[in-house]
Amino acid sequence: MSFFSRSSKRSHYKNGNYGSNHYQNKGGLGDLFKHLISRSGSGGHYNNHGNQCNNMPMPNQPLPNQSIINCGKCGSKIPTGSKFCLECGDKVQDALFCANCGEKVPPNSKFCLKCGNKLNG
Amino acid sequence: MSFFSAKKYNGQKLGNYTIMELVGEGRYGMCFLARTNTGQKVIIKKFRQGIFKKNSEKNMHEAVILSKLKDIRIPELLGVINQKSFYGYVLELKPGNTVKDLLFKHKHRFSDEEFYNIGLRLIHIIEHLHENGIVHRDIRIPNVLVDNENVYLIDFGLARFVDSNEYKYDLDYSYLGDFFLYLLYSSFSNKNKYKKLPWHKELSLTDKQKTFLKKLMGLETVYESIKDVEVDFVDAFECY
Repeated sequence: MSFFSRSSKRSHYKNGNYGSNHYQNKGGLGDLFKHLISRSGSGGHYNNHGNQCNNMPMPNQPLPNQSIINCGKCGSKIPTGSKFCLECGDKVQDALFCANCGEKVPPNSKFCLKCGNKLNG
Repeated sequence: MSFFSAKKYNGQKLGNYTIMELVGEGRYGMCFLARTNTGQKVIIKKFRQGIFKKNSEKNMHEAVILSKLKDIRIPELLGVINQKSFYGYVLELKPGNTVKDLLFKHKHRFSDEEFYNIGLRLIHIIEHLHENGIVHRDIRIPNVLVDNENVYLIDFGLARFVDSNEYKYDLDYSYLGDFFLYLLYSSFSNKNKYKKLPWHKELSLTDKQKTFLKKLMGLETVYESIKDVEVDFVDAFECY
């Protein structure tokens, strides 16, 4: 492990030995510094002393970069699970089923991808 | 400097929303109080120019996670604004004061009962997140709102779906421990101002309470799950 990777990892650890001079002060620049480092890195700030924790992903959760749909209004890619298009702000419709053939159709589709039936809304 | 740059947005109309005032700021950008055409108050989180484009992959997590979470204790994502140089999320306004304001602006001293109630409610919110496979990663005093009996958790800018490598549930535990220490120190009066002692030597705590906080802070064997945190919290602080 290189010096740099070690040092950047350690900077995310929460100090577990602060006292009144820390917790009874808003922090000023210290708070700003904490804020900056908390936004900047990977988030591996926790010193768990080598203990294993139950960190397996939940089976039903949407995974990052899972299938992406296209916005019906502007055509931009919308990350799965987002209620809104992150480009134009258009609201994503909940999952629809084709009234003609019952096929599940992607949100914001204009036509059923199976039978070609025109969809409403 | 930011005050002046924020002032230019006051009264600006963005679609159905009119900006009223700046209410918060961070590295991401600024948060404004705004109102809709129908008078409903909302929060608009404006991303700093460049931040969103540069980190769009990272920023999408907040939108996806807030879309997934439907809970009264968490602000709802109400919309996305993208107009010229203004890019932001419209979020539900939650009532109450941040714990940071209560501590440092209002100089509030949290009673034992308040500590217990706020702590337990916050643990329940974290349980809800973890059950949904989400880790908040920023449970700090400016991100917890208290309104009488109710507790809300805001700012999901760093929240992520849990994975086995980078984003683990235990990322929230040391933040929770740190949060608890702020509350406990609100009623502590320092007699030894020149001695810099750690919290476990300064605060008057039972052995159970110390062990609980040390486990959260990673000074002793850490917790396996938030359910274990809840059990020990109740055990250590219920009659506190």
